[in-house]
Amino acid sequence: MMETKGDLLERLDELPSLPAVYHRVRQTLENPDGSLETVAAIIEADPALAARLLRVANSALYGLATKVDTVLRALTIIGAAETHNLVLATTLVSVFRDLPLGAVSMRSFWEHSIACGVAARVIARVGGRASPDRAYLAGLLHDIGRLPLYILEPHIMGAALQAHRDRQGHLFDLEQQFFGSSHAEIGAALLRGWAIPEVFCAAAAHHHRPALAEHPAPEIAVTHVADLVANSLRIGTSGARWTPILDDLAWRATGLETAQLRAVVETTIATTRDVTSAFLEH
Amino acid sequence: MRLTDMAPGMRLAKDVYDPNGNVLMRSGTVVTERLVKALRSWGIDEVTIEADAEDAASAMLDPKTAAEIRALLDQQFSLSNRDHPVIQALYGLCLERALGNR
Repeated sequence: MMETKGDLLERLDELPSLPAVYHRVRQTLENPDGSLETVAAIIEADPALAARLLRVANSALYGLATKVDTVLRALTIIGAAETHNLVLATTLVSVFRDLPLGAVSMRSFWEHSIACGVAARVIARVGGRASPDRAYLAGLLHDIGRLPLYILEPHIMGAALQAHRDRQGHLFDLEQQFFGSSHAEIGAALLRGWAIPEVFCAAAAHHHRPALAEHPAPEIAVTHVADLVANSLRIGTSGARWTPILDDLAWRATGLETAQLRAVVETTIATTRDVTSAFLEH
Repeated sequence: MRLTDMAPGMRLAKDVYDPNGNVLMRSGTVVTERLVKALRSWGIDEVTIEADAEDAASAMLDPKTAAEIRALLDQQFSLSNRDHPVIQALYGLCLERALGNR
């Protein structure tokens, strides 16, 4: 079925793209003469985005001591690097929020993605090996390749999902059978097409098989474990129903101890609901 | 407690003997999937479990519902590597959460 894979990669441009405001923000952040004031002005020109971004900035995700009510204040507190991640996450969720996915609800998809991002941030902070901010975005983006599968090939993906529900295998392996590819590979291609920094593409590409990564990075290991935690807790779903297989090397690369899992689970549960409503509720 | 009601993370309260009277497992041993299988292969279907606060709480629950929750979790984790201590710990945390949410 290799033609399905080639087909899919060519049809990725049928999906909605990241809005111009994301690219303008990114250019400004990368420009040595750019300032957070300019970034804030770009964001405020889009009132819906500005309001959404403030909700996310004030959510349990960042744990700010006091509520911020201007975009510039929010960006100043979280810093330039996290500003990029926040704008990317906010615009991306908005672009895909209202599309129908068929077999899985878009809300459930983002709930799982956000839970994975939140878990990744906690694991990175407790384990001390990965950057919490990068781990969070890697977790949030890890399953993005499922969107093209559901949107572009709903029938094939529906059949793969049914086989998965019948416990014929992990959804990742069934995708390989049905598409000759997987959401991991497609997701990495999608992110590379958007010129998203490589660490996030690599985490999406290898979160199921971290051992196969050419350049192992702590963010890949953290995303693998965070996905397993989010799947076990069943906070939302991108389609997978059964807990995946843990890669022992990836687990050890996170720096986490088994006894710290309880804290990871508790923080993930406590934070995810608030962050999900900040991203999704009107 | 019957083997079917045992969950990873519980502790044996008494030594377990094989039919010849030899000690199989010492009291205080933490229950794992592998241990349950081993007990089953010896034909043992009931052991004594340490009654700490959590177990006392779960003993008060309707045993059928608790068994149903375990069955659902067993299915959910059936394609994972359940011999890994981290998976066992996650299973335990999910079980605790599911029992607490009823």
